[in-house]
Amino acid sequence: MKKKVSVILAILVGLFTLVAILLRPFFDLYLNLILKLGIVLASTATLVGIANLMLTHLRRVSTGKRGFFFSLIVLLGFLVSFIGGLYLGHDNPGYLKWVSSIRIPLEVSFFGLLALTLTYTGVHFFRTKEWSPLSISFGGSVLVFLIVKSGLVQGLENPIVDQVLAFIQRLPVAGSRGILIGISLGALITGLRVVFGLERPYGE
Amino acid sequence: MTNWMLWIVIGLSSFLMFFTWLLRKKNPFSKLRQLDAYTQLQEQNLAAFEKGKRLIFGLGGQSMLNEVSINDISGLPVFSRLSRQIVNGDQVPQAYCSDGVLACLSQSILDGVYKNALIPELFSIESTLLVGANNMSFVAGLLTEINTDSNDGLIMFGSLKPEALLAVDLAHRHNLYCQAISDSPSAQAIFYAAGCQPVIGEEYFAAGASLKAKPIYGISLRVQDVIRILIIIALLVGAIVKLMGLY
Repeated sequence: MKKKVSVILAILVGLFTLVAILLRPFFDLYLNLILKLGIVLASTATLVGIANLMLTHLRRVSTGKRGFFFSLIVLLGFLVSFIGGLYLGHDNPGYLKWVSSIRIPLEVSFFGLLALTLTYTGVHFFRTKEWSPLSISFGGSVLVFLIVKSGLVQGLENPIVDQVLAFIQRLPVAGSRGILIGISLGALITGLRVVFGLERPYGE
Repeated sequence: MTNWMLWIVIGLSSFLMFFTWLLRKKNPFSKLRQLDAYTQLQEQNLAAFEKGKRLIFGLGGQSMLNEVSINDISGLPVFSRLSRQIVNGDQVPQAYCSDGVLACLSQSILDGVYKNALIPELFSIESTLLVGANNMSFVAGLLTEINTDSNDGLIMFGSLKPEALLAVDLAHRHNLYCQAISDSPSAQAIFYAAGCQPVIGEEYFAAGASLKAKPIYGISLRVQDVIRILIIIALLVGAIVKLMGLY
């Protein structure tokens, strides 16, 4: 019974939202209300997720599980930033500066590591990939766009070369447009499945 | 897109889903092309089960602070299907999520999997965890979990960004099986270069059908194909009409 109620509720809310979006601006007031309810629900789910994560790390520390030191750092970092946010306010300039001074260097170093890994992966691809139509076309287009984007060929200032370059640079736009149409269709069908209750991620 | 076009697309998709269901309800998966990326998932999952290990899941990838993506839930049928295969194994299925909603949904799915297997007492809330609130923290949280001895592989599924390459690279360095599947074309290219099986464009949505999780996945994949063909015809007709100067 509980399962049926949740399914019916999900379908009704989904259908109403769909119709309200299509008949805008007549149902804007209700649409805003549903959106706000959705935000409250999503925030509650996030709080549950955070609480679950913290409990898991607490358990790891209390049982002395391998790598518990990292769990301790997670817990301390969470507590300090959480209490700091509650005490000073989440928009306090001092608090924001303090959090940013930890977060930004970490993210920058992460991006640095990512740049290195991307370079290494690129080299590794050409060294180890077996020859197949996909790998040849992928590798070929990578080389072509590396050369085109480097600006070396543009320096020739030849009108025919410029026309060829303009054509080559339009290719990814056309290709990605095709891919994005396919992905949008997939998203639409997934949404319809959820709205009609044919896909129920909220219960097995 | 104007409202009347939205009505047409949604109405047509709904009608085609109903019509395809009537036609194909007995054999929804027949003649569907099998994708190596998805067929390997099942094989690797069973291989890990035999070894007494498991594959871990990275679900999502979309930053909680940005817009919500429905594409993220496409990984849930994969998680459900593969968890069902190893529910009696030595290791419990484990999912790490990038979003609170996704963490709650995957927990609900895993709870259902254990209940259906009549062993609800084995379900643990630690089996699905929210590990990060944005793309970077999600990948960082995942990196620390890859090193565990009980892992035999990593499956990442969702709106992953190129940052997820760090997790793929770490899994490969530990000689773990790794498959990363994203709806982002740039991430798809990077994962292919990193040695994952290629999943191109809308193949992202073929997971449920390839794993034969539920008949509706096969039906919706066929509907997607029909609508795509209609769009191609419309584009070609539009181009011809424009070339002839009729519009």
